[in-house]
Amino acid sequence: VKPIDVEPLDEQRWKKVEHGVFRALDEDAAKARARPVRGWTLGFAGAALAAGLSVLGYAVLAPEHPPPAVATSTPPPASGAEERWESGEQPLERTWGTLELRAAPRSLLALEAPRRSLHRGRLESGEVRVAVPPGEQVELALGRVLVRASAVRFVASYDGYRPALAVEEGELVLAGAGVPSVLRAGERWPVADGPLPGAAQAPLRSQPDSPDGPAAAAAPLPHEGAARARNAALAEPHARERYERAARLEGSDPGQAEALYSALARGRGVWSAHALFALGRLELERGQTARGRATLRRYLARHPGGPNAEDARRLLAPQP
Amino acid sequence: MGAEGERPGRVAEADRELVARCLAGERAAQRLLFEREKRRVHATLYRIAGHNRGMDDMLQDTFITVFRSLHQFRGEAQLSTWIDRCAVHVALKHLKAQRRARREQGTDTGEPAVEACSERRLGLRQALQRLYTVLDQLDEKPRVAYVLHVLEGRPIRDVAQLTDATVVATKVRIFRARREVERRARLDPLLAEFVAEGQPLAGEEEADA
Repeated sequence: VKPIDVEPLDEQRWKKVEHGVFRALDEDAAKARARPVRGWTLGFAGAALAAGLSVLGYAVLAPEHPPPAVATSTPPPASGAEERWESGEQPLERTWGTLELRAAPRSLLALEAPRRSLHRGRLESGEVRVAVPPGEQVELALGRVLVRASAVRFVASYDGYRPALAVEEGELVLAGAGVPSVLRAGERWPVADGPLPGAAQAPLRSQPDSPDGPAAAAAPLPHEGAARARNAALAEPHARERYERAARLEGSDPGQAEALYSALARGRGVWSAHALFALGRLELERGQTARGRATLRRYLARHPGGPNAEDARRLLAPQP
Repeated sequence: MGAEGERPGRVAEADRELVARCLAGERAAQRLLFEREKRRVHATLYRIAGHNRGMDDMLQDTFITVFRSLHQFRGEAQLSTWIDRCAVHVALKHLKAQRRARREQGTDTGEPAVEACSERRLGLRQALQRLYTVLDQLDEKPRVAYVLHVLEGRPIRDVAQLTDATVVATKVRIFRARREVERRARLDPLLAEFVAEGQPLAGEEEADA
């Protein structure tokens, strides 16, 4: 049978589809948040409590067994109990255990109760300046990136897509695929042209590591030269972000997406491999059959066991 | 996507990570998955339906199903195969609903409307219209199996997996659909030109083995 040309959907229809899909997901999320505790959940909890009490009673009352040891220390607060904190139209300051936070307008944080010296939280959107005194620890999640730090002052922002960090004092450890492992004072990631926007730029009322106040905090940093060098190394937006940007452009501007994939494919690493495959796929989709096939062959030559190798072979296989 | 790539543990790490990010509710990851898969899913649905009427609904239903069911993805097949499976299920549901609506309205003429198209493609579109006229008269399952195997070129094993059927049942469905198409092609030169009769279907030897 002759191959069937697919009549493409116009951009307006794709927008409508996309809008419908993500509106449904938003509604799902809203329903999940509003869902009351179900009866069976309460029943199960009650049964578990009764079972626990009966075991405890048996252990206490049974004469042949010694009484159980009783814990005397205060149990730690339940982990996972989060407090959601949202700034309105104005920047807000608050303390979080011994930490100081200043959130830019329209920021949303989820903060767990501090456990000993560890403060765990999540910046869901917006921007926050955090001052962590020595001896205290913070773990702040920004999407897929986890920041671990102690004795540090930093600004974090997250728009729901991309996390960004700027370290003012101290040192941060980052965890997450494809992010630098350490950021030091004066460094930012990813490197932007200007300062992080928003009211969180204003200094905190008290800076734990800056006894001389804001003037000292604004003074040149001791390792400024090294910081500039590292910033230059980090200046290139991360390969994964470039890949994702290209993927987002496939629908609206496939030419630009091709250019981005092509540039990324010239590098090394896993995202370059993905980009090379995506470039071939996109060229085929755009009717550039010879180029697309050549690109996919190049992908297979470079990455014969790559994650997209099966798909590349399938795309190269003759159609029945 | 192929059968070879569907052994447990063969799912690309990037896909696993993408799924995890989607399940965590990360909108950027969900958009990335949507952007990456939308054209392939559209192509599959288009070949099953034969037109773009109602395509918006089918695409929406497919991706909503994908995101709502993503927690069930265990990495036993490639992510793209798993998404195709969702698309096939949605397409089957829509085809059944369309057939039911046509029967209730008494408009089951089996004549799909032709969309506006360029003159260059007119002959091809007419032949396609004839093909889909035949397919419209088939049951949904043989139709979908035929489209996935003959028009999309997927091996029979893949089609069986996508439609939750055995390989033998899939072969029978394709055979029934192909026999009907070829029977009509013998009476219709335009359809006969479009359909190359007697060619072995890709993957049949493999499935026979």
